[in-house]
Amino acid sequence: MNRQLIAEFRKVFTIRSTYIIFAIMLALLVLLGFYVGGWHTNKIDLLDPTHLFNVDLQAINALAIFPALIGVLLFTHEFRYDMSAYTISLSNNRNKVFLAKLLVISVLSLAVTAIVGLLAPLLTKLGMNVNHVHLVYQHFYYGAIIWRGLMFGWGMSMAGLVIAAIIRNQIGAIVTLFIVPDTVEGLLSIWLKKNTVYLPFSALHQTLGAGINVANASLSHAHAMLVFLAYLFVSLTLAWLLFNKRDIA
Amino acid sequence: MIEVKKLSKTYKNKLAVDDISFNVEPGKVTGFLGPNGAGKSTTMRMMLGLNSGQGSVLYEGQPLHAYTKPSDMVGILLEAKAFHPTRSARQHLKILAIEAGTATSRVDEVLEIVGLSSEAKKGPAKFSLGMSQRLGLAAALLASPKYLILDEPANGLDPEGIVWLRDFLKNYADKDHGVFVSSHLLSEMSQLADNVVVIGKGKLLANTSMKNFIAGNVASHVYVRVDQLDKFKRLLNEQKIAFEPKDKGLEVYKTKTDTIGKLAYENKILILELANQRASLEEAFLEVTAGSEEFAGRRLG
Repeated sequence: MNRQLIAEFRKVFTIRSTYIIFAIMLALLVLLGFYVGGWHTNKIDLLDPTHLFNVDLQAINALAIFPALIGVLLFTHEFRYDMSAYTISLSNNRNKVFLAKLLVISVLSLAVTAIVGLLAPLLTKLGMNVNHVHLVYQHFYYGAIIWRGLMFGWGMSMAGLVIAAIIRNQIGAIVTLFIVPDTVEGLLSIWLKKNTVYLPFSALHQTLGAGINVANASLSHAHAMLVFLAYLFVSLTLAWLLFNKRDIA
Repeated sequence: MIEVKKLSKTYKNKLAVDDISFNVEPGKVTGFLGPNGAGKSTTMRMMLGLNSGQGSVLYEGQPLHAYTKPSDMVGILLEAKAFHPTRSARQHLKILAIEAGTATSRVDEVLEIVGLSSEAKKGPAKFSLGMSQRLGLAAALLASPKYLILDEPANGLDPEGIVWLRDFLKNYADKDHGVFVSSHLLSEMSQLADNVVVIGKGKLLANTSMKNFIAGNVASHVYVRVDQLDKFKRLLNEQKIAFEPKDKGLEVYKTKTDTIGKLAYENKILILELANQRASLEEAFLEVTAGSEEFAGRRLG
């Protein structure tokens, strides 16, 4: 198992696209944290005692897609570049390969979310200091940002993993990851109305607290997390079964 | 020994591999032949557990997944361009070495063996097909496996590369390793393989030594040119020996040069040219696979 884990980590950090994705993510983090949240912040926000907390939530919400993308690439590159034959035949058990990918994507998403969660408020403070504006005393809910933020970041990456494992096609998986959360669930909300909150990505967004607003039908963060985890359990089981059973063509 | 027993695979109601059994012996190169779409790649993938199906494949008496390090048992080359284009050749092999549980110091050794040391730091995006094949072969050799399973490894290699590959695989087999290799380069295969497995439309058509395969499927014949052609034709007809005119002489079937020489001598016919026409693997292959091509083109004109 160690062999697979080390190899999967190396796969992430030995290709150009990983660094391009991280560079774009960092640029957006600076834009959101330093400029939008700090330098260019509204005067009203300066009086908001939860401004830094909200900036942090928004940054995590906006940037969780990036580690998820890296996860999608880790999985789909196997099939796009015909490397799956090696990966599978060098291991004596497909479960080890699947688990290694799942763990690597998990660690990566948690680490990236932690970095974003740490840097976003610092950059906001820096932007304000450079612009000589100051916030009122801030209430920062550390516990909430840790569990909700990490859960959201990890959840997005797991969703990416599930989509990639089921679809296997790189373009198809990326497009699905981008259109399902907003477009598909947005369209379904026309039909489902208040029950939209029980859709997987809506539930995940509500876990973070920066999701789709559905009037009078919000779930608590913990309840929303359980809804998402139920979807994740079922879809991960399906992805794992398919990974074990399907031909490596 | 790799024992392939009763492999079968169905794709959408079509039998892609139909009850195929054969062995890959250590110390020998086994050629795997068949027309396009015959099921060669599917069979190879089934042998590695990449594709599902019926039957069993045992490596030294055990399934491949029963080994903690399957790479010690088998090295593979199934696709020439099986690498990420922006990951350097060395990094690509290092990752495979880690997955295989092999020392990463082996990477530079195999790069040197296949002649890619100077390209080790480059991303293989712009590698030619021949260079990609060499990188694929390096990957197969990482753990010095007991067996090699190679799908069309000579594709894209230049003539020098083909000769190198032939010598390399022969030497590898000589060290009590087994090599199972598919190729469409029949002349090359005839020089390389000791045994041959032929399939067509998923069915096993032949499983024998290369020598027996050629001898058993194409009749050897003799080319003869004489000074009295009409008289010699009459004599052949009297002896009920089949022949056909060819160039300025005759192609005489199912006979030997001794018989032709004796017949001419006894009838005072001067032989101007007498040659044994050796049957080729290509002829034998075409004979055996006739009618089992999945895709057949037509002649122009």
